[in-house]
Amino acid sequence: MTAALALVQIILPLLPSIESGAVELWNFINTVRGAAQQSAVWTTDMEASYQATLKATTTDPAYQPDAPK
Amino acid sequence: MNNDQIKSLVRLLLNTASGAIIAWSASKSQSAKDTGQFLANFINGPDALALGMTAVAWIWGHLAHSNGPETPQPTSAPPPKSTGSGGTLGLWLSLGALAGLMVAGCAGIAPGNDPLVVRVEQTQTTAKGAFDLVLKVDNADRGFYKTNAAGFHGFCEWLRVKVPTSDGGVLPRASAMLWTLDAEKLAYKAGTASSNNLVLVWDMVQTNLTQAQTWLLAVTNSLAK
Repeated sequence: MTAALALVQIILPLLPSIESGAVELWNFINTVRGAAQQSAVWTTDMEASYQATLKATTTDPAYQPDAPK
Repeated sequence: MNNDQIKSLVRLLLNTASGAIIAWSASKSQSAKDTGQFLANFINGPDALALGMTAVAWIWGHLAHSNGPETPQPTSAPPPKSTGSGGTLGLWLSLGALAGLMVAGCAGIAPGNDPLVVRVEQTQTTAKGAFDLVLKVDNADRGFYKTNAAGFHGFCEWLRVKVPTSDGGVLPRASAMLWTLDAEKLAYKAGTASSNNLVLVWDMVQTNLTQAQTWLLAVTNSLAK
């Protein structure tokens, strides 16, 4: 019983990370699937959209380097 | 040579072959539509084959290692039973994933579209997704990865370094290399850059994409235990 409680205490804090990681992995799989299904060159709108996503990374928290010490 | 060594060798061959096919694809993209290699046409492109082989090696490797180290058995004990995962099951799952990818996952290139441009755009999409994934995984707990996977965190920090782009802007390196590839692709489409230049930048992005996927494989297989 004590071991089970200890295990629950370990697992519960990890759930948010696992959940967000699973979502990111699912997004990546869908991205790869979408790329594999591409059959023609991008339209002008798709090109502009892609460039916008690249520029948006300048404000994405995941793309920000560690704060200097 | 025991079973583990054989499985490891097969996985190594899968990874090596997928890398070789990517390199071959990069060097032959221009003439692929003329030469029309049977295998490439069969699965709608060498990149798809390489992706499938990498997936097989990835899934198989994960399942094979998920059993943990074998414990030595006393000589009087009966032979250990199979756990049902890893080994054969992993191989079948991997082959299923490969078959699914080949049967349902890929589309052919429509007539009138430059295969080189389409393949580059597929790489742009996949690389953006892969860089997003590694950086978000690292960003979920930077302190943890900095302590327990310094190499992975260091690679992510390298991707985050702000670098100038060809249009005078500044982007994180992960985005800047994709921006460079996009600019080179547009120049190639406009006829102001050669396919050699495009393939050179494409190869650079492919290398970093492979490294990102390798780091993902490493951190998800070694840190969860």
